[in-house]
Amino acid sequence: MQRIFWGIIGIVFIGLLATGSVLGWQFYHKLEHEVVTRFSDHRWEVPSKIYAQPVLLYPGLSIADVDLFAQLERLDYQRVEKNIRARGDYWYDSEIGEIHIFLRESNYPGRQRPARQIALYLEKGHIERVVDLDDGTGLLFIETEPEIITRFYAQAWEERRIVKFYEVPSLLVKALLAAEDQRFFEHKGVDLWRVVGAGWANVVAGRTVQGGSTLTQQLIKNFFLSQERTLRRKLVEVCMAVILENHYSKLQILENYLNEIYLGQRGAKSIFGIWEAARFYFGKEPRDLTLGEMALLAGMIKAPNRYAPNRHPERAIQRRSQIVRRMAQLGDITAEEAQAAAQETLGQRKIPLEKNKAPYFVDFLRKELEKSYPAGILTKAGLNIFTALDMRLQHIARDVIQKELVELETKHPKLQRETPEERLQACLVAIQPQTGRVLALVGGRDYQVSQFNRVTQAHRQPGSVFKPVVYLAALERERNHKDGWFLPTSLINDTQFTWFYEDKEWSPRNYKDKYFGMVTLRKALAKSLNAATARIALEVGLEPIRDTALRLGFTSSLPAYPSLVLGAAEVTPLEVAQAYSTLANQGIFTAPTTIKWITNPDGEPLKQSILAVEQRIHPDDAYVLTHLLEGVMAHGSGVRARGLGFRRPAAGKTGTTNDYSDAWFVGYTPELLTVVWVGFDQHAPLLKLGGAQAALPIWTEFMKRATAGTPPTAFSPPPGITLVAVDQETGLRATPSCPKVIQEAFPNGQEPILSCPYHAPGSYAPGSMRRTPVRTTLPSRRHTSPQAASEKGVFLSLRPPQPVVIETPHHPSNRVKPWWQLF
Amino acid sequence: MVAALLIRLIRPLLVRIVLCLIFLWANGNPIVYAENEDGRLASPGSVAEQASPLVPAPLRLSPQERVALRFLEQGRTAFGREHFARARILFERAIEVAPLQPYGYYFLGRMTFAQGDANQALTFLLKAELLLTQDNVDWLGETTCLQGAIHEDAGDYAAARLHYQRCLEFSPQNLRALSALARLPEDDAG
Repeated sequence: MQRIFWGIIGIVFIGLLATGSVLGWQFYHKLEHEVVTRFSDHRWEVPSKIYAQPVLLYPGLSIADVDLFAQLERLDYQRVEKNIRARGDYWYDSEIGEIHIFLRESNYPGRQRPARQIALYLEKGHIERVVDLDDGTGLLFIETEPEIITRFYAQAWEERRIVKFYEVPSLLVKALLAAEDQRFFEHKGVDLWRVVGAGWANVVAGRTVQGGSTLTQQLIKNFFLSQERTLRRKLVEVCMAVILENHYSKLQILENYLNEIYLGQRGAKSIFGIWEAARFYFGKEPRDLTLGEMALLAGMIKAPNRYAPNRHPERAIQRRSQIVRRMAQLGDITAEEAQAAAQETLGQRKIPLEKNKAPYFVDFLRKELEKSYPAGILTKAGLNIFTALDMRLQHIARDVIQKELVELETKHPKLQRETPEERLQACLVAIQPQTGRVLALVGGRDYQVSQFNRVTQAHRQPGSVFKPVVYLAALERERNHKDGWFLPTSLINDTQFTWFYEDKEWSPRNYKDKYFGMVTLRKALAKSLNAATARIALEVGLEPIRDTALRLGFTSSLPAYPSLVLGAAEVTPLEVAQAYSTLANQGIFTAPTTIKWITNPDGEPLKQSILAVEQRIHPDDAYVLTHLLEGVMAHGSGVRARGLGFRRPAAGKTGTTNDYSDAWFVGYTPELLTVVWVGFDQHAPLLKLGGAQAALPIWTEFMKRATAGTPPTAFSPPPGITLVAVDQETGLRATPSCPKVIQEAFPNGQEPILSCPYHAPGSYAPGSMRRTPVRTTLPSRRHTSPQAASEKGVFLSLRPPQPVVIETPHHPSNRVKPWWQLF
Repeated sequence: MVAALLIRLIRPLLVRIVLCLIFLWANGNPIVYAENEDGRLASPGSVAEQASPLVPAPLRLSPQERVALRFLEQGRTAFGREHFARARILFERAIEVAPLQPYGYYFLGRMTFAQGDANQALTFLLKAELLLTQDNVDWLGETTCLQGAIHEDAGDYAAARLHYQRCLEFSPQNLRALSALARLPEDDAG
């Protein structure tokens, strides 16, 4: 009986054992599969980084103009009192005029550079020499690493940069092991002695004072498991740790740990990994950390926010001392080294605020990128996106908009609004015309209040800013083999008239209903005369004007109504910038460029933007128009910029819509173009303020600061253009008696041949010209038959040989009359 | 009488042959030597460096232009070694730093032509020409000559002739323009 009993017991036991073994084996395999699969396939979620252009330093550069120290601060460089020792240090002695910088390595594609120690020798605030301190050689230039504008985060805002094991100094690894797992290289995933020791310590203390987890277990917990404290989770953790140790080497596990470990918060963003923590807390790369800093970092793992040196320096120092002592006990460092490390001062590092430095630009960029890359890639794949943005100009743009809007509201209190959403807005975009690089972009006053990007999303009426398109179409007329042509000296009748189209009528009116009679094309543009402009448009026709607009770079729909010519069609400021950029670039179109390069985390290029050019406007016509727009700055609606201190050669145009709800200023030097818009999102009027009052001051202040440090350059006429001194009023060749003489640009062969007769002794007074027009013979012109000249008799160059009729129902008013019939 | 007739018939042919020989000889003897990245004189023989005049002395230039010139020289070296991608980066950088300096556009034109994009090449060369001052006749000659070559390559002999003739206005001794004019068909039917 007893035998039978024990037999049954034995069988049951064996059965249970077998079942347990099978189940255990299955469980083990399941865990093994999970660990191996997930560990092998593990991809760190690394946000993509958006970079601005690097700062180029070279002899002749004024450090004040480029705001060098502010740039270094933004790049997280630390000023040191003595010698520069670590990457990211700089030293400056104003008395001897020397700056030493330990530049970090640059990952800019095509310009990769290792970390380098350089000296800048200054002479009266300008860089006189750049010297490589490593070998003492002089350099023609050097550039800093590019500044990070922001990162594209996923839902979890994690900052992490992956390091390889060999990039981490051995002392840091030793400090880490001393702090967290000193028998790491001895155990197989679980340290039984540590478990027993921790258990005993906790029993003695009556609370949890010590953990028994190895590094492997901590890694498993972070990788696969939740943070809950249950026996089941602990058992699974132990099993997985053993499996991990069986499949991967200690170095692989350690490397993953170094990248995975959580080390505190930077605002809403979590700091993960040893590299990111070293940069955040000490402004250094791991290889540049001192022993004390390494010990502190290692000690922080236990409770990152409790021991954060920027928040709790005393606790941090205590913790550092513990780690240093333990390292000395383990023989990792000598007693002297330990003592020196424990006495290191915890420098009060100024941690730069981590915020998006160009939020509107980044939004625009993101939209562009999302056409090619899924959002998940942008937030997790760790791409490096190098943009054309110039951070110095970006900061200037932002500051100027803030300051000038406040000034405008102070000066005109009625512009103030109660709620932030209704406040006066402004936007600015600056482009390098030759390359299309978007150097600065501010889409609004405050991104926190409104994320609406007015540069790219706001469709607003451009007002007079559109007028140069009409004038350009007129200047192009002869080139396009149309009858009748225009020159800057052509006389236009600036009087009220009605334009009939599609059974409708439209009467353009001048500002304050003030009309000037016969004016030159130059004056019509400089004074932004609506009636004269509309008359030119009537002559040129709407289709050629639309065609010119499209070639310049406008992309919005431009309805073929007469009011188009005075800027009634809605366009974005970016389009305006594009169109004027074509003008500034001598008629050559280059598309606006925001992205220069995209590389993967290893620095391999994925995309590169190359300079593509297309000639859309004849350079002669582009120059003549630029020359006319220079007149706007010299004595037209843009003259206030000169009063505000902007002295460089520049061309520009103001814009104001009829209801005063949009104020524009567009202006450019040969090297920089800037568009400014001011208005209310709700289309409320800006009292009676036009572009010259509301937008021009922003433009002027921005351009003054943006162009500082570069030599002024003039617009140079192309070979097909001749500059002739003419009388300002008549447009004829100037005589010594002419009171107002200007240089006028003419296509070769179209210069006036007659001298001004009005200012010679005994001649008509200039004022009488309007009442008693004088017929002259036709000036020497190309493509003009003598017959046509004798038949019509023209005054200067506006000579429509045949009346031009807009393609609308015929009406007598639609016929363009010779000027002498207009009185 | 017969001899005079023969000479009259043969003379244009002889002129062309002589000009072609001169051209070939000139191509074997580089006109310029440029500094390479190490600041030493570059060895002759590269296509990029053979046919372009010397850029102005750096002392006359602004700091930005001097830096741009450095990029340009490095770009020329890369171009000469047919490292086109690198050359393009450097030429574009030269333009970014000093956008009103014409040489970057000239070399971009040259390079895009070498890569088969005639339209881009002509636009870059136009830009270079617009920025070159009228006293910079060597470069104007080179630029217009290259424009002529591009038109000739595209079969537009009328435009090619026009540009070669303009080249000779700037640089009457330009052998490539001379030989090209001699070789182009009399009629402009392309």
